[in-house]
Amino acid sequence: MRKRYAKTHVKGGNKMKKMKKLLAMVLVIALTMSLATACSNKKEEATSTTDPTQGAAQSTDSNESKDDTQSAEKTKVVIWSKDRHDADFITQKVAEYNETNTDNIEVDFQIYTDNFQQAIDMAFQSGEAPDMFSQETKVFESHLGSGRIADLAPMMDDNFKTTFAASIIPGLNEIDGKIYYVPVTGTTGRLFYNKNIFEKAGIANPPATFEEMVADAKLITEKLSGEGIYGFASNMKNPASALNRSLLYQVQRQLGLQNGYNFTTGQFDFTQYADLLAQWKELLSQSAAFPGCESLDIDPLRTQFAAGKIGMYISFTHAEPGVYKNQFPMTEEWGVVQIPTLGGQVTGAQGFVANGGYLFNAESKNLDAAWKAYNSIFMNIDFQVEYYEAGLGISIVPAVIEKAKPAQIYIDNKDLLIGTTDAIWPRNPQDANATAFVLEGMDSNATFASMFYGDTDIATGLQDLTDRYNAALKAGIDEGTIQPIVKSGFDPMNPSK
Amino acid sequence: MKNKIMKTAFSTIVAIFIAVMIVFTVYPILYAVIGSFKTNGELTAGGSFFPEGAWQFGNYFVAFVKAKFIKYTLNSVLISISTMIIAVFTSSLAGYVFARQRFVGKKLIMVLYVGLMFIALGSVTLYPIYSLLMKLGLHKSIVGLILVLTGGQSANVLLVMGFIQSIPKELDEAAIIDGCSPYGIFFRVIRPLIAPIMAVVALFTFRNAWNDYVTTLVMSISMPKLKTLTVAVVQLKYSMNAAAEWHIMLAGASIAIIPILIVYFFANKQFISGLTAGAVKG
Amino acid sequence: MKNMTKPQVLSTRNKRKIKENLQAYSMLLPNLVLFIAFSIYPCIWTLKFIFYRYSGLASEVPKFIGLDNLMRVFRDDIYWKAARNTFVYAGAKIIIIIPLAFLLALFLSKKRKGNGLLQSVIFVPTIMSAAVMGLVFYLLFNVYNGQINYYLMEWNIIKQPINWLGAKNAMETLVITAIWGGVGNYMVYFIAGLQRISEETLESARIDGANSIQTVWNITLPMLGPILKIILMLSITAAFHDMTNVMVLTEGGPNYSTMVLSLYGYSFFFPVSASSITLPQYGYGAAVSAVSAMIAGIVTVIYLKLSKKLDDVY
Repeated sequence: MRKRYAKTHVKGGNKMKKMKKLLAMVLVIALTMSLATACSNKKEEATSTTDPTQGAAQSTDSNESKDDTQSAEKTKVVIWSKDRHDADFITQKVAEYNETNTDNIEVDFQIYTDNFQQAIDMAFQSGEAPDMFSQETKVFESHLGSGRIADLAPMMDDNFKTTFAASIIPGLNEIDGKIYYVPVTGTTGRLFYNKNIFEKAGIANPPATFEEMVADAKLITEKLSGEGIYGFASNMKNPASALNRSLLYQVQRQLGLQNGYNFTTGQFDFTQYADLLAQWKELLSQSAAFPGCESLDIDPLRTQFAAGKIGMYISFTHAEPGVYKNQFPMTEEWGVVQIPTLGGQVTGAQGFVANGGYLFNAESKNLDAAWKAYNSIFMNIDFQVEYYEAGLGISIVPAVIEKAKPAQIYIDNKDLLIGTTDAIWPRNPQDANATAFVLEGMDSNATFASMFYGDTDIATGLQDLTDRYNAALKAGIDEGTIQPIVKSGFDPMNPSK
Repeated sequence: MKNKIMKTAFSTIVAIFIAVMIVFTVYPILYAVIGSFKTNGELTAGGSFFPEGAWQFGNYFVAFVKAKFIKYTLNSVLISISTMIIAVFTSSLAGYVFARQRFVGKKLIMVLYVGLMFIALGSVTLYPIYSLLMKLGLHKSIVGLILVLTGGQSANVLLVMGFIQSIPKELDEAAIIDGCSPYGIFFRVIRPLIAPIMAVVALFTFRNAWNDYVTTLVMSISMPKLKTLTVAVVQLKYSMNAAAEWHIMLAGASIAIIPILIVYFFANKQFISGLTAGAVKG
Repeated sequence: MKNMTKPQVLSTRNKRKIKENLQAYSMLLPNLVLFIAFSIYPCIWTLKFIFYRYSGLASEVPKFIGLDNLMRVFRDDIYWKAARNTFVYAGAKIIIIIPLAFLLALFLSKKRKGNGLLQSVIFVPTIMSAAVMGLVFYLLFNVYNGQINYYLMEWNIIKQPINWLGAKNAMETLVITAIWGGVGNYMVYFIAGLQRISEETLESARIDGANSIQTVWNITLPMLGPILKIILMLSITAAFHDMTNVMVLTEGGPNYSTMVLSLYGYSFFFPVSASSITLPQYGYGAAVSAVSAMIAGIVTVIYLKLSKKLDDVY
């Protein structure tokens, strides 16, 4: 065909003819291709109806078999997860459950790592939301007011309530007597460091103060950048993702503020951040940081840490052990310590996130089946023991902690665990009223990034930020869409009281 | 003598300039295609242009099987071809009607077609389109995505209209005398004559659908079964372990690039002439 | 009713007219439906939501807030930063790409063996997906192990790796990739223009003793005038629309240094990770996009006025 086409072209023959041939060729290709796809599509469908259990478990995104519910005569429970570090483990457990359960329930466990929140939002709008899905702060906050998140309290029996009593925290997941999710693990931010690099640079101990941390980072970069090794890294491509796992916690410890919010005065005050941010700017400067932090995502950062190119970084305790064991196996030894503060000064408890919970879709037709499957798979104590022992997450369930032999990694690194210096922080007015709190301009994290990488002056930038946050708060309160939150006698060391 | 030296110097400079531009153009493509045969270690080390060890054909196996590219490839093929067929069919009919028929409201409709080509709301239209599909219940099927990617096509319609206007009207009139209906005129007289411009419309809509990222991304956020190759490849940056696996990313990129390169190999003249037709007429 | 009182002749004519109209509309319909659904409806939706506050999330009812969204655009610093970025991006892209494309066209339009092939090669990026190539460029320009820094260091052109995607250089990198993707396109336009200049005109200039540079300057360029106008017009609108490459390569970051208007509008509907919007704000997004469309429109009108003035000078 190609030859014939070429010939007519060389002859400069009838243009129309040539075009016709080309069009014919395109159409022929089109037809054969569409036939091919039509056939293979059918085949795919056929296999999924004859053997619905197969593949469903590992499928990260196959919901085309959704329409087969009737023909398979099984109740299908669709679960969306946002986590990758425990995907293999859960996938296997779900597959086992699908094979053995006697309730005729089939769980379709899908992983949405990218755009998780948008996927949930859009799925709700189109009535396609999964039966249950990973609890995530932003998702929970934005959908709470809509009545789309099911109240789990009526489904809990007494046994459940006593086993997971510690997980039900008023103001967090229990609101007005309704319980929306049950966290089983906890996570918070800590400093991770590469012991081999510290040794190579001649640094004996991990930093105890933030000033020391900046100095260590500079020393490592100065000594080892020739080998491509740098002192510190942060996934600043997404400032919120980077700073909510580091600065947010550091500020709770150091200043007793919740993202700038002072619970005693009921006002935002970012101006107190000035000294901290000045050190951060040093830490992220060329003399200390891994090059290109401002365009770095968390996973590429982890690969570089695993490859022994990064001295320190701050991240979540729940994910990292699994990451360096399964996702990006690391040969060098890493350690973990508390996030250092300026001068080692601590005025508040560090917050932790109670996670590992699932939200249930109140509009789901299979709510009961989802609850059943949830109890059999995720709320099974043996499952949680195994999960904890595998180093995939840090349990906050007493029954689990009692029974489990913690993974060696937790024994070696006590700071991975949620300790006595960690506490649950209440939500500030912005978090509690996600949709009603309309902030104009850059949010706090983006503003901090512009101080690190742009020419925003720290002092004036912080004042402006404070003004804008308080203006948004006032506007919401005036309009009646935001409830003011003021706690007289608030003690940052005991924030949940 | 001097003139001759000047001339050789000049043509050398021209040759160098063209060579540089060719390297600039080809290098990223070759990097992707050749890199897809390297090991991850070779790639992340920066290093040599060609694989140092054996060529890793296995990368493609991993991309096709583990990253489910077979499915996304089928989606891409189905979506691009359907979009192409719908676009050719609807825009040629509409272009013909605008060029040859008189009807109530023609002026208004034409003003809208031309006007909306110039109002560039861009990405803001994605959300209302998605919500419209939701109301119609088309957001979960591939049909919805195909229709969205076909779109309003005012540019195509005006292109075809211009082409038909350059065809002598006597041909239609003869057909009318023979008792042909407008449909008859279109299918017997006009359609064979507008084949060249139809080929252009076909190629460009195929290319646009195959390469589209933003629209397909939005439509597939909560419906991953609709993902096309282009979207799936870009998401490799975040999914699975691929953040660390450059060889899989490049294998994916090559799988997305190569089919369109093949189409181009057969039809590069049409692509190029089509572009000019659009520009000069528009 | 009216028909009854009118003569029979008119009635059949009316009938024929109705039939003609029906036939025309039946042929137009497939396209018209698509056009209304995917071009007109979104415009009306946008115009409406400019005046509302709506996050689309909860069972929230859109709230009418008058001109608040538009007022907010004018005090939104990031918006004007994005506007400035868009102008920088468009300006840099056009200033580099147009001369490059012209020179390529000039050298490659001569009828010589191999030129056709070279043209086809230069044109290849035009058919590639900006998104997929964005991913490839992301790997190439990677600061710590991308191949570009590797070669530059290997050949001793630089000592320290260049932070291609950092706040200082990201815009340059973006422009480089945009040039890569667009130069073939404009080259083809120029070739089309050059082919309209007859050989005789050039020949007669040569006989008059003009050298090649003089011929280009005095004959080719002025004669390209009309098509150059179209090319500039197209390049301006294209540069204002570019978004996919930005989205994949930098997502508008770091620190908004590559945030362009189109992506900024998008981020209020579908939040991107590098910006501070975490929840959609449909109303404000509509206002942002409408103002951006207006800016693009004003630029186009100014351009058209200017190019008309140039005509008068000639």
